[in-house]
Amino acid sequence: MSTLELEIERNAFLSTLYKAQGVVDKKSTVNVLSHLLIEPSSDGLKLTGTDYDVVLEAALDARILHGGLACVNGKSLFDVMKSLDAPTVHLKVLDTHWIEVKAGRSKFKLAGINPTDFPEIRSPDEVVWFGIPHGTIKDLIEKTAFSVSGDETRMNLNGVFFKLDPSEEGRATLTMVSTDGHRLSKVETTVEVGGYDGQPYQAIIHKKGVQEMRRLLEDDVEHIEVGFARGYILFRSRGTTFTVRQIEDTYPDYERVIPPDPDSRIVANRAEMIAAIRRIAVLTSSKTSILKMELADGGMAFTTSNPDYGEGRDEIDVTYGGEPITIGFNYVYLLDVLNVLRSEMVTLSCNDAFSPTVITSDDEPGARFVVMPMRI
Amino acid sequence: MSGRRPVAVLPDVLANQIAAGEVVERPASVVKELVENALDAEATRVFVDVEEGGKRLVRVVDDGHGMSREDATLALERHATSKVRTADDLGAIATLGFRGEALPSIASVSRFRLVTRITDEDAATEISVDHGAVESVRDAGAPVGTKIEVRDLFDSVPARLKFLKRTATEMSHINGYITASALGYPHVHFKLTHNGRTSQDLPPAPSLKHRIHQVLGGRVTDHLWEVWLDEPIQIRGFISEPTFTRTNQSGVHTFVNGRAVKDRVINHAVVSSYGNLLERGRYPYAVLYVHVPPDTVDVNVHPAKAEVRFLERGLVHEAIVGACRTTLASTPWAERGTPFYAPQGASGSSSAVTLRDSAFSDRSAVAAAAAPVSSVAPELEVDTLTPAGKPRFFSRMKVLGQADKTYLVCEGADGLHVIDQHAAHERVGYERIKSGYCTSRLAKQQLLLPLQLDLTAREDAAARAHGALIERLGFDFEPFGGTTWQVMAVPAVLAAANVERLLRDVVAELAELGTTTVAEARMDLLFSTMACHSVIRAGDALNEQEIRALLESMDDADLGANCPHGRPVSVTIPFTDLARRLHRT
Repeated sequence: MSTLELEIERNAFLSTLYKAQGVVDKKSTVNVLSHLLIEPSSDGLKLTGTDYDVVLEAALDARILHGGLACVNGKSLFDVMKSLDAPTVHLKVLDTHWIEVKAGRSKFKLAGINPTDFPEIRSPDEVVWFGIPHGTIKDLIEKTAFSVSGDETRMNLNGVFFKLDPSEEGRATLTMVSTDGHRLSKVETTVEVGGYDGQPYQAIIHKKGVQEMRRLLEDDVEHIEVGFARGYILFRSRGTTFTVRQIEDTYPDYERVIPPDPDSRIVANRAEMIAAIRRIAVLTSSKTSILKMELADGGMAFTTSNPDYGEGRDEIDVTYGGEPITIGFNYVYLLDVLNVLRSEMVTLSCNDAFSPTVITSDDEPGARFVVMPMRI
Repeated sequence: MSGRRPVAVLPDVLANQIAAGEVVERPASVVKELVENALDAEATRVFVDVEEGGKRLVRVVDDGHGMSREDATLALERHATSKVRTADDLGAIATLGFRGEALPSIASVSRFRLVTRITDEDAATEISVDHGAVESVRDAGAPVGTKIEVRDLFDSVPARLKFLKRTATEMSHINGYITASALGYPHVHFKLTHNGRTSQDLPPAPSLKHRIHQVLGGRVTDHLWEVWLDEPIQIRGFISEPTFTRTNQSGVHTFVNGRAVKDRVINHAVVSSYGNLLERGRYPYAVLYVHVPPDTVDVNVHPAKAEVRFLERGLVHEAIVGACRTTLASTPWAERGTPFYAPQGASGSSSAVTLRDSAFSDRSAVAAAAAPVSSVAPELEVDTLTPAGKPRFFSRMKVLGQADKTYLVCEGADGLHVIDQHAAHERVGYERIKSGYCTSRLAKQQLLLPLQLDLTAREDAAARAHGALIERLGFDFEPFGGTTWQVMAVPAVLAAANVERLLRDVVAELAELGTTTVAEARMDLLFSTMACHSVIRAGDALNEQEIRALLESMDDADLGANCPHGRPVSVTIPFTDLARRLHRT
């Protein structure tokens, strides 16, 4: 029986193990899913982990001293690696499938399981890869991930809708949309995409996958590679690949619910607005998070009234010339939007207290956020 | 050609045997049919003797008005009944039996003997029938009333015989039925013997309370509290305090216009009136009499007549919930001063009703079908319960201290009270959050992407009929063509919930019960979670001021029995118990 034995550089190993932490499901009832499979590859080491929705595969440089397989709990391996201070780590699989970890004067034996128990991972065939600028994909995801639905009966809303469309001069227009039925975020941008073939592509990326691939965004790289395959969407950076199940459903017609040209436009200072909302939020009910936004000539006020806690009112200056109106909001929905925008000033557009309010910023032209008001 | 059989009208005997399959399912159904007849004949004594769980013999003897010979002979023909003459009568049935199926059906599957006499005739009539064939009709000597013997039930119908359960099982059904009848007719003397041994003997009770005591025993009746409602429908009866429960619904006895029924709407109403006062998986005891005008209830739903159908299910449901909640809200058990049952004569204040005056037993009142319900005047004595109003129960107690930083130990008039501080505070917090919500409940989150639901035709009809109720719950729910509906807004507190499933449950419940509690139950759950996280916990040390304040707020929160998660808030150790355990008596 051959047993795996290898030497690996601690920092590189640690950073890969970190990316795997979301995938090794600590709470899974299937024990093997909290484990990582370690196997030699042509140029080093391959690490695999899965929670069925997302598969992580990572290639690493390592010196293989003896071939074989290992399967070890991903969390404990990460925790041990984090605690070590030696530059190089020596791993050796023992007869019991346990794994001996030696680094400097530290020595651990980690409980492992039989590698043949690890589920077989089938890689999607015919992946079309593109290189998308790191900053672009990061911006798209940050501005949409927060409004994905958690309601599992509305499967098609449980992910971020992502599409690529051809634009002029061989560039591509990327669109990312998310909605939970109460609010919607849409970001659109046109960029140079590496390897783009001019064809339209689209997918609903499962929210779990969105969460995991954000770990890739912490890498300091110029491009993130994004792959489209039947049933899957893939993200790759520095040898680590996340294969994410697509939600195979139709995404709602989001353009229809974005009001085209609202009557009133209010321009407000983003930081002032955030501060005022936060102050008033102190006195809102934790379950409903309702506050009222009162608009009058030149001013915007946030108020709350709660029989348990009391009342509050906070005003900021805005440009507004319409009739006074009062709109109810879940303040969390407003803060979520204001927090992902970066410009100094934001624009709110609305028709009345019952129709969707749109939030935009002149500095971030592709981004539109729609928030449905509360009826109070 | 294979034998194609010509259609033929069934001979009467066979038709009766088939009907017997519906009407007479088991010996208990024979008992039920015969006892119902006796009660319809205004008997004041109904004696039932059975042998071998009724398989060998069921004998019912009553002192009712009996039948003339002519009527008796006719009664053994199918659909012969003195109780319904025309189809219009069916719309307002005030008697227990009415289908005219029972006697011939029973007689067709047994050896049957009927002896009956009316006051006007000197001789009684005796009729013997052997499996549907009349053997003899002759004179006999007997007192006024009717005696019916049913022997060897089903021995000619092996298919049915095979399905009869053990004697003990059959007896439990028979006992259950006699119990139910006895609760419905307190003034009637019921007696049941099995193989010559007395199983139940219930002499006429001067009041419903006494009958309940006779039937359910003192242990149960000590924990029952009166329910009373006159409008829009009349409801009388008793329900148990929230901590006195059992694991199934068999402690719930309900009567509609005197008829013992197992009705989903009523049972659901009783249980849901407790809301989260009940521990999970526990059910209360209840003896509840619902009076509705006979033309608003259909009892002709099932041959065995155990089910009824109300014209206005929602109204009945709401009335029961309201009546029970009024009782629960007054928390009479907290005082414990007035035991539910005081032996008659001991208290001079109670005006015992005479036997035939009780609204629940007086068949003339039931028979006054055409009269509006309110004219069926309640004659039951009013129990001397604590008047509704703010009870000062907890705050009146003397605080002895805190034990294990978890329990508050207090001295009341009758014993030591040990209060779970977390459960108590949670209960208080829950009431506060809930009332706070009720003032702001109209806040709705509008949906950017409306949700479409395909309903069944029945659900669609229910949604249309109860649109106002659904809106009151905070949903904007509109028809969207066909039986598809669209959700435009949801209650703000439930915005994060699984709206589709919740609304489906709401609509299904509306279709089934005519009213709905699932949405409120969902909100209750939410409030109790919020309450749980905002209050003191076990292990928090409290000083006397804090304990006082908690006790006072416990009195302010109206329902004091269980924490919103269903754990009891307090236990009482009566001084009598202490005395006994310390051998002072």
